[in-house]
Amino acid sequence: MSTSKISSCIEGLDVLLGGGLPQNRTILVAGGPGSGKSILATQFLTGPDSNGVYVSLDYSKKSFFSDMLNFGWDFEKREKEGTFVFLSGSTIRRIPQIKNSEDTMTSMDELTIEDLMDMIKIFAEKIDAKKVVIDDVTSLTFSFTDEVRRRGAILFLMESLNDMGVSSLIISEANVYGTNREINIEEFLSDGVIRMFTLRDGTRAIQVSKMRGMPVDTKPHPYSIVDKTGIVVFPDESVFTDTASSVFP
Amino acid sequence: MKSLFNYYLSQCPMPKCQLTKSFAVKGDIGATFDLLIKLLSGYGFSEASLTWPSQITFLRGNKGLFAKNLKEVKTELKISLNQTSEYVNMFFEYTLAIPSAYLTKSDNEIEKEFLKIKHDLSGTEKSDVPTKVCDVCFTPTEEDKQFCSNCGRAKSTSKSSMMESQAITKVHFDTNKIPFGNKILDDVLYGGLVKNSAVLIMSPHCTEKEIISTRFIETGLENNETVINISCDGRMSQNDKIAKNDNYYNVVCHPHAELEMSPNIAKERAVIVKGVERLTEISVAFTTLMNNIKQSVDGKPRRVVLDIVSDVLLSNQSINTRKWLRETIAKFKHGNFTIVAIMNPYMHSKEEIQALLDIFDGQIELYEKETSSSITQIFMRVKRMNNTEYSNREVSFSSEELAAKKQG
Repeated sequence: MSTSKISSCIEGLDVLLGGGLPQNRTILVAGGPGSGKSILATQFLTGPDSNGVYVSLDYSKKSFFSDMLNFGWDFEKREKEGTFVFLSGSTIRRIPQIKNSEDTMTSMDELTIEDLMDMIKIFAEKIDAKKVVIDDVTSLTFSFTDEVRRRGAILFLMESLNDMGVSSLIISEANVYGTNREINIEEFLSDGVIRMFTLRDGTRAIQVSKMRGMPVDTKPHPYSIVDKTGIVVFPDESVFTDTASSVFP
Repeated sequence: MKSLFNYYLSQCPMPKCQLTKSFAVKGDIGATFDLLIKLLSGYGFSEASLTWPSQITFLRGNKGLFAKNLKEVKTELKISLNQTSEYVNMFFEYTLAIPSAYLTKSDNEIEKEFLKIKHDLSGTEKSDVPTKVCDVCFTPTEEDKQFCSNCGRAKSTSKSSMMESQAITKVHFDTNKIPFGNKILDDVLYGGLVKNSAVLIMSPHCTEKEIISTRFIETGLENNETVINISCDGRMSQNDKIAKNDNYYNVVCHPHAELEMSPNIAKERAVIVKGVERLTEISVAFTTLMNNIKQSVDGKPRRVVLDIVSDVLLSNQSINTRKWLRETIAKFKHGNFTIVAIMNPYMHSKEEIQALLDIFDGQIELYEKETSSSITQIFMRVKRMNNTEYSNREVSFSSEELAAKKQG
């Protein structure tokens, strides 16, 4: 049985994906700082039938609205229209109140994955969300120093998102190139992995390195971050670098 | 006694007669010229002097009245060629060491041989080619017209100068060729480059190279074709005639390219890439530009001058340059472009050059050489040109000659 697909809303990326992202699955977007992970994930929430929840622990709502407006995406308007919800760190800290619990939370350390998932579920149901973005999973699982507990938390997060019947992108901060790079546990657990690079010479490249049950183009291809457009992937272009073999393991 | 007889004979003036013939064939002047040389050597003629591709003089035989056959008759044959549109007009001037009375014979061997040469050159296919040529300007003219449509002169009725013309099959005239606009270059290429081909010009830094690329661009623009010039500087945009043309696009790969760009070139037609080090960025710039062009113009041939090959090779390894060139050329060919790439071979090792050559469909070399008078001159030779005929003759030219526009 073939997997249903939804558009990534990113010009060129759907070509690499063989038509789009798998529906109701959790895909990991991994990349270094400044590679455009948040832009890619936000762009995923544009397009038709894109009611969505954006969860960010580090991004303030005001900055998010302002930054994304540069690409022509008016999420403030969408929030008012009831097609979008932004869950910032401050909102998440009030999770117990929102859940009508008597407990109070004062620090992120006390936030549990279960609380967060409950929160996402409430808002997703409220706006009939089809898409969820979590920016980023590294912050969420930072407190789990034990590898086994961390694995369990990530697995719970991904399963919960899939059970919700939404298509999700979760962002991971990672050094994504070099033969000695550490492969994070979330890469093994997610249904797919999209990696974003900024090479030493400044060239930007994107690679779909994993997508369960779907034939995809796993070669790295260049992409640009374009004003008023967002991310544009060039599926017919190659990445030229003098150390290609070591950069893309 | 015999030697005395021979002495007297040698002192006697040889009889001499002259005969002129002309006809036109459909074809390219360079190809016709080369074919003529091959053909006439089979008739016993040898080259005496030539000015490629417009004039050639042949010699044959050394006897006069005592010649046993036509091949022994001392003959000088001067052939002049000129190109008018798609026709090559040829003017044959025979000087023979036989009495002129011989030519009045209806079955004389000269006439027979000439018809044979013409037949060999023209092939046998009849076509809709005009059957007469003007004896003043050699332009093919229609039978029923009293005056030449080109020069306006009254048509001669002289049999010797009005010969039947036939469609040429051996000298191919390819109307799909993309002319450079330089007479010398187009002549050796028999009309120009094959459409959608990629040709590498290997040249040291010289004025001639600049003129060739400029004329290639100008000719494209004159033909209302889209032309992309990819260079490391914005010098070409200083040429107002080129820069102001809406069909001209300039990709400049230089960190401070904007300083060199003329304001005459519209921003949407000027693409700036900050250097040649990031091949991915250059490729993306090409794709973006081609997508924009695709929306505005369609169907017509297009041209690209890729004048960054040496800089790319210097900044990147040959393996990367090769990979990049392969993809770039494929992309431009797919977009209906004919590509002229320029490389300075003196900047690179033999191995680096070899790594790139087979990517191209053809190779033209410009090189400096000392002439007998110790003057250094630029020479040119088409070294390779796949899927088309060309002349591999070495030609010399001055930049003035090279700049001369191809006429007709």
